[in-house]
Amino acid sequence: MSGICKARLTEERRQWRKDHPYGFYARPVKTDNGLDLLNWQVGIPGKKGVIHWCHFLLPIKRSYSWTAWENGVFKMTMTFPEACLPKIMDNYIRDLDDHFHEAVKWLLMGKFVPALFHPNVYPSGTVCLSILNEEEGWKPAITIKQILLGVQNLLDEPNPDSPAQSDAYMLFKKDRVAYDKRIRQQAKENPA
Amino acid sequence: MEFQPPSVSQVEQIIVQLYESIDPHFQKSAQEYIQNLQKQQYAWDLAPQLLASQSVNSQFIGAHIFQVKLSRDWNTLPLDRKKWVRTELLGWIVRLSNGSNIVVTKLCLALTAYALQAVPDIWSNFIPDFFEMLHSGVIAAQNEGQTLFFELPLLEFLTVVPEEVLRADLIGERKAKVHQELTNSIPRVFSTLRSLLSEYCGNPERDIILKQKCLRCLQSWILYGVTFDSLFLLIDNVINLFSHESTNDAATEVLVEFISQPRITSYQNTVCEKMLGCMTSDWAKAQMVNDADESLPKNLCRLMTTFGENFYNYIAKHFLRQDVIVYMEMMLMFAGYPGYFGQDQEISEMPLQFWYLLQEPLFDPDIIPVNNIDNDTVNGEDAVTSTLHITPDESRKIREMSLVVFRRLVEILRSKIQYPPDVEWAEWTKDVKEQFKIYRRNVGDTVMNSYFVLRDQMLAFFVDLAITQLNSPGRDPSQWQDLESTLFCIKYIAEAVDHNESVYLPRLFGAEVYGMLPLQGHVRLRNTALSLIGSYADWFKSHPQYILSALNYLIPALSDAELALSAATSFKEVCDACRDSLVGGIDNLVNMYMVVGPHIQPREKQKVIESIADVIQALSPDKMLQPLLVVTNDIMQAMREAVLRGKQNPPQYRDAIITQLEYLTCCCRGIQPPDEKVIILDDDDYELRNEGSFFDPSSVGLVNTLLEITSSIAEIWYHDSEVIEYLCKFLSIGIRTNSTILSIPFEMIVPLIQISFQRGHHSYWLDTAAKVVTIHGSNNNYGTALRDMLAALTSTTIQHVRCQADMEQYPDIVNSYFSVLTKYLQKCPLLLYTLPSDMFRSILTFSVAGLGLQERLALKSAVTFMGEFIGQNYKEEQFAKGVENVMMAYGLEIMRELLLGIGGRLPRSFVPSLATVLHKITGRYIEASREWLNILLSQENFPSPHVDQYTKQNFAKAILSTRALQRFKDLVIEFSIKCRDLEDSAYGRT
Repeated sequence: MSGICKARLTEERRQWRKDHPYGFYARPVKTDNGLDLLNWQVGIPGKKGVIHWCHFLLPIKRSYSWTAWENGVFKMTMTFPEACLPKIMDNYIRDLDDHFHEAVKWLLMGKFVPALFHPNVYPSGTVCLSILNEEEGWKPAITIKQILLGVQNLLDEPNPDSPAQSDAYMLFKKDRVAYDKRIRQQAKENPA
Repeated sequence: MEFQPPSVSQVEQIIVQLYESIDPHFQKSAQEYIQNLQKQQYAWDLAPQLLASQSVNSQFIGAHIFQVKLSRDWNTLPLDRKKWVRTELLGWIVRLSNGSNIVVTKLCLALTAYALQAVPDIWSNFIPDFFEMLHSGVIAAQNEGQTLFFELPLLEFLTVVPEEVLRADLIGERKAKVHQELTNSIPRVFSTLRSLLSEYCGNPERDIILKQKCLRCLQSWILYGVTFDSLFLLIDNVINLFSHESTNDAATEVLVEFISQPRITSYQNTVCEKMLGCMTSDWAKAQMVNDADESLPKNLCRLMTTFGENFYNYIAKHFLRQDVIVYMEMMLMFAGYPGYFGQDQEISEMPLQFWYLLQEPLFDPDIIPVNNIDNDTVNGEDAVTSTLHITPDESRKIREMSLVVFRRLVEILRSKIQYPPDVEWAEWTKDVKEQFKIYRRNVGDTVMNSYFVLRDQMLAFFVDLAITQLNSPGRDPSQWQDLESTLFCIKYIAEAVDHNESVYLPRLFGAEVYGMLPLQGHVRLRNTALSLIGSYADWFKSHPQYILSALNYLIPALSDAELALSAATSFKEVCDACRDSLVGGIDNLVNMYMVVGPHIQPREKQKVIESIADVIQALSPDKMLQPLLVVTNDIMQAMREAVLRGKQNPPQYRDAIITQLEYLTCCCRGIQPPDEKVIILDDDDYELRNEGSFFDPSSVGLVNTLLEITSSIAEIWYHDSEVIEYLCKFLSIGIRTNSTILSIPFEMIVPLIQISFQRGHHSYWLDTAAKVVTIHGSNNNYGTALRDMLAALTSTTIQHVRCQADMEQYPDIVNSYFSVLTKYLQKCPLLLYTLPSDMFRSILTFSVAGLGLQERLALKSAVTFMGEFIGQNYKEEQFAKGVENVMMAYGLEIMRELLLGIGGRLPRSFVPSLATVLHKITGRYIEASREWLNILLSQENFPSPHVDQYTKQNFAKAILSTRALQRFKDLVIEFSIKCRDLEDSAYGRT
């Protein structure tokens, strides 16, 4: 791992420790040779419901909407590309070009273990999120915090334009009640 | 309808109701009414009329309207009235300066909004100008006999200006001008602040308010960004105000901002001296035990934590200094702040990250040099000490001292995560309980990091503590909390502990601790003890002699509903990691399963079955069948029964069948070789290292039974998509296993898939077919059967999904069908060309039609397949010729669909993948592509009316001469934006 890459990830780790969103965790995997900064174990809590305020000038609580993901914590592994440097990354993308559709490859891999029932998660558990996807704008400047908040958001608000697994996608489209039921069951199986 | 301006009193009436009504619907409509008023030109005159009201609410809305109008409707204000607005705002600031704070703040916000619009043309030098105008306004008012304090509105304005400037989206010349204004006025602002901070007028109440305002103002400028030198002049004043209760809040904010500035470490020594003096003063120490007001210790803790986070290297280097020692003592006290976190206090979590940060420099040889006595050469020593200014003796002392400090820390942390007595816990709210659990997890992380400082000392400490806790004389048998917290800490350090540890963990898992744990009640303690076993699974692997006793503790818990989840999870971890050590005891495990199995809930039972199968996998192939038969026996029994009864009444037995299918799936998953024994090709494809598949002739019976049962399930529940989903999951995973024991052989599964898919069009059958091709596709003996399967699946699919509308309706089938085709391309592409030619043509027509779908899943799979088809890697000349012939026949069609998609028919997010396919076509067939592009693009309005011939020709030329994919994509995206007529919008570029 290049020095700059290591420094960048060490700083990420520090920043995360200093300030991370409530209920999340993220730590590099431990190996026999110390911490592996390229591989992280993260936990993403299901989004809480929202309190609706009658806003403008007065804070009056009106109602609370639940999300089906509440009370679950979903485990993901995150793998950083060996090459964090933009320049090296360009080469990396070019190498991938030889593998045709493989060119749409996750530079920064996020993988749910076990795989999640969700329209944008591949059957293998790989998550499909535009900020995780180099094609659609992963930039080395995005922090782990932003990524994980993005994933949390995606869990509750799937993007039907980018289906990754047929089962969850079909149920989401055809039967929202059954879909929510399945999600709640999943949250129960992944308790905090 | 023309807008009829309401009278002021009518508006005031509505404001009264807005604030006083409790009916949310009414509030909403009142709010909308006022928002609508703001949009009218008439609002410019309404604002001062409301400000003249006696009611604070009306005044506030008046000032608010000004602010909104100035920000949004600046251009609707005629030039000659622009000065008038400024005079109005200043006038009201002076007149109301002794009135309500919120109105003055709102007025200052409005005036700032004015300044941001008026700089530089209408109002230059607005900050000094505001000083003068306010001053003369106040003097004029005082001449009329009013006593006004102009400092408050002045400070208010100076506070909001930097905040608003940072928030505003300024661009170009105005941005530069506004920032210049602020920079120019810093000396004046800071000298004003300095005199206000140091002077006292004698009226204590007014002094406090003024000092608080000054501090708020200073904070706002620090956030804006000022030089260290100008700030440092004021810092003594701030530190002084920090030790007064009334100004402590505001001073804390300033100091926190001050030491969090980006470049503050350049002034490390100066800042640290000052701050340590402030934080360890007698006044500060006294606040730690201030019960009356939690905000004082909380402020202090926040300041000290922020300090530690920014200067942990400094602290490590000066570890032995008296003030640093005091600082550390205080931080330890904060970590152990009295009361339960979440329920009684919110302090003890704050300093956690500091300890984590401190742990790193203490063991970083670049900061604290390492003294290795054996290698202590004179040269090395000189080199180190000369750059770091730390003598070897000092660094030895620092390390000794750090052990003392961290030992105390873990002791404190352990006590903080102890659960309260059961009665107390029962009274906590759900939120507090959750907060406490998250706090425990964060403490766990800190304990884990402290392990890197303490190492074996920590394990020694916790294991001894657990033993002491269990043996303390007169121990209350109902008490479990202390021991639980100790085990919790041991569990958390598992990740860090060396797998070869052989002193303390044997004591833990032996008779001294695990041998004495309660077997009844104490659910929380037992849950922690159970999951602790799982987290040390890797340690057990290198210490197999302790596995048995650990399992003896785990197994009885499997059938206890409150413990089953953690017991089953740990059981799985231990069996998975230690399978090689457990093979000898497989009979015992299977017997255990026979006894406990019937009492385990389905979710946990799945885990247990998979765990036992993990161990079975480690047996030599000829020994696998026997235990597997025992484990699967009752599953088979239950399935047979469900099938028998299900024939008459399928819905009633569907759940039973699903449960059993899940057990079988878990069993299959267990007997798969672990990851280190396989070569993973892609997500669903892998090859075994070394071992080939093994066929045990005596498994024929089991396989026949399986075939019989699965065929019946496929027949009875053919319309129940959930049952078919679980059935196919089992079949698919069975195909993957290297052992043939739980796998339906190729010769039988192929007809099963064909018949079943014809009977009920579930995409799951196609997914299973794709698995078959993945595993057996490259086996030449199966060529004919595979070709026939493809033909059968294709005709069923095409009969069922006849047109684009059908494709949109059954995207899952389209998706799975294309996955099957893709697998054929990857594994046995030649088979595709041996299909009857009309069927082959149908496949291509189907694929081309797929490129025009709106349904995302179906569209995506069609685009992926097309890319795969065109991009096939072929070595044989004849094969290449075959693909080329196909492309010559369909290329124009394919390209038409791609260009239409790029030109606007498909969503923009698909353009990059369409571009990839187009890139492959132009790369392989450049001459033909030139011709196709020419034919297609010369048509009027193709692919979009927004691009002319010139643009289209340039596009064709550019893409034909570009090979780099990224550049190619950029060109296509650019063209797509033009086709969609989004060229001039910011949206188009994002």
